[in-house]
Amino acid sequence: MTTLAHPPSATDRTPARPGSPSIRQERRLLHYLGQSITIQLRDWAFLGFVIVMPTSVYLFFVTIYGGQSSGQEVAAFMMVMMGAYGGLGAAMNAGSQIQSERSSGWFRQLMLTSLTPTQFVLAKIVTAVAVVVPAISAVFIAGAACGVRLDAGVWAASLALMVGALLPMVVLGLVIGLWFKPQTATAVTTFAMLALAMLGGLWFPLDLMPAAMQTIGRLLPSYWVSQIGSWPLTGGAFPWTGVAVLVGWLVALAALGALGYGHSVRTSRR
Amino acid sequence: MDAITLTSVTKAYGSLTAVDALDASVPAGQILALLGPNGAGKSTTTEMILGLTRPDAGTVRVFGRDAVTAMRAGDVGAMLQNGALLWDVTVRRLLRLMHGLYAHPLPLDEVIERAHLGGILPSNTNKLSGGQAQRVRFALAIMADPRLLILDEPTVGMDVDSRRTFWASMDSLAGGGRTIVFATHHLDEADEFADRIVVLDDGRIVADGTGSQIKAVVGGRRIGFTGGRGDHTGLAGVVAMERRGARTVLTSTDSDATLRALLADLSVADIETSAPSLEDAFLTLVS
Repeated sequence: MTTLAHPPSATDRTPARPGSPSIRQERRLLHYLGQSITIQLRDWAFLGFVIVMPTSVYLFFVTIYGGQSSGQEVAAFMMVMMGAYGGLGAAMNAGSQIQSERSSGWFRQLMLTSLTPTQFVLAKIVTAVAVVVPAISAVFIAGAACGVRLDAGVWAASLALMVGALLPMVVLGLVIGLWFKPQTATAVTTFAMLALAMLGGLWFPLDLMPAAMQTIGRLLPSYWVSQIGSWPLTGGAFPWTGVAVLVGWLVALAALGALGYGHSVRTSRR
Repeated sequence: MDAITLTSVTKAYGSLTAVDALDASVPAGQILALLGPNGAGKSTTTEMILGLTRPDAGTVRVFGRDAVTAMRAGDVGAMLQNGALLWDVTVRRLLRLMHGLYAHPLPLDEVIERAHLGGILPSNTNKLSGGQAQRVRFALAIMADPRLLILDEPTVGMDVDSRRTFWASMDSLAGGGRTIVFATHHLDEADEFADRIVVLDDGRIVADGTGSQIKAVVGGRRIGFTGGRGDHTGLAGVVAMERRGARTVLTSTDSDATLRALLADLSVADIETSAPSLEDAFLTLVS
């Protein structure tokens, strides 16, 4: 058995890196984040899907209802609803990326670097937000083209509030990706997205639904995304109930995600 | 200092015990080959050393630390069996993405050179051949500039030429004093390249030593020839006889005496004497 000290290789011949370990940690996270966003935003097929879908549905509805006397107001509220729908799809589809990385085993390769699981999840969430922004913006641009006129501050506030409100949905996408088999996860994501959009009143206003369904709708995060997103347009009391509902979902989903993460490490393909 | 210390490590999947109270240590700088039939526990063992799987019982120490800490510190690099690559990006982007994730990575140019990736940097990861993909996985394994390199069947999918090039580049890496643990099905690779061979079967170590020590398990010499179709089991030194097509192979504890007796039969031709191969030893050990 050799008792030689480690020869001047590996760590020894590596020049000392500047910066404290925590600074290096942050730099690593930012690096992974930047690269992930670049890769995601270069995926034209994916971007096209999350942008074209809600925008075309929006234009379709506006053409149908837009001719009425309150046309401009309807167009504005529908814009927020469809923006929420587009954001919902983008947020949840971020789960499809983690799912594909898991099923292929790429996730395991990432676990062989200095990247920590927390950094991985953080980066995935921020990447998802990065895709949410163009999805909502596309519907807003379509709205502007259809004659919706708002103050710059109102546009910005509505976008920012919706991005924030969609955070639980990003986590929902991650949770589905973590807990379901790859083949199932795509179907579950699509089903959950449609259910949340319909029951949350993103396609037809909740007020037109039976009382029982309204009660269900008010417990869903999707409903509050559009409510919070339209608050800058309507004014009045800020929907704090919605914030409470969203925080509740976020906490529950984050807990499920933490459990699913360990599950994912254990079951990811060899 | 030991690169790896396993102390009564056990891991079960349901009722199947993949690794059964394994004790082993690998001194720094050693090149160790891990052999065993499918399901012997090779992959589970390497996963525990990499911190991807936690043992049910026992401890895994890598350079005196727990496996995950050693991995995060950049002490360990690994090539996983069928390890996935990020889909639908160029090799260059993949390397750049990964390069920023290590504690003290090798310069990217050096990684590209050592893994012979210069020619395929613009290629998309979903258009790589098996051998090219394996070179990219190798690049990821050495990128951390690790003191311990773990390779799970590194030459799978490579042709003879690529295998030779691969082991040549491994040689230059090992020269730097790195510890290398590799699992393989090519016994000739283990025989040629490893300082030490550990044979696993049913999650336990069934043999541990140098190539020649392992081969000594079988003992004796092989004498192969054509013709002489009679029964030779009575000849001096012969312990076993086997017919392989036109050839007869005798296993003998005293090949000189056996040969002298055998040559009396004038129909015997094309005689060949050989030491038992690692494959013979392996088959004996895991049968």
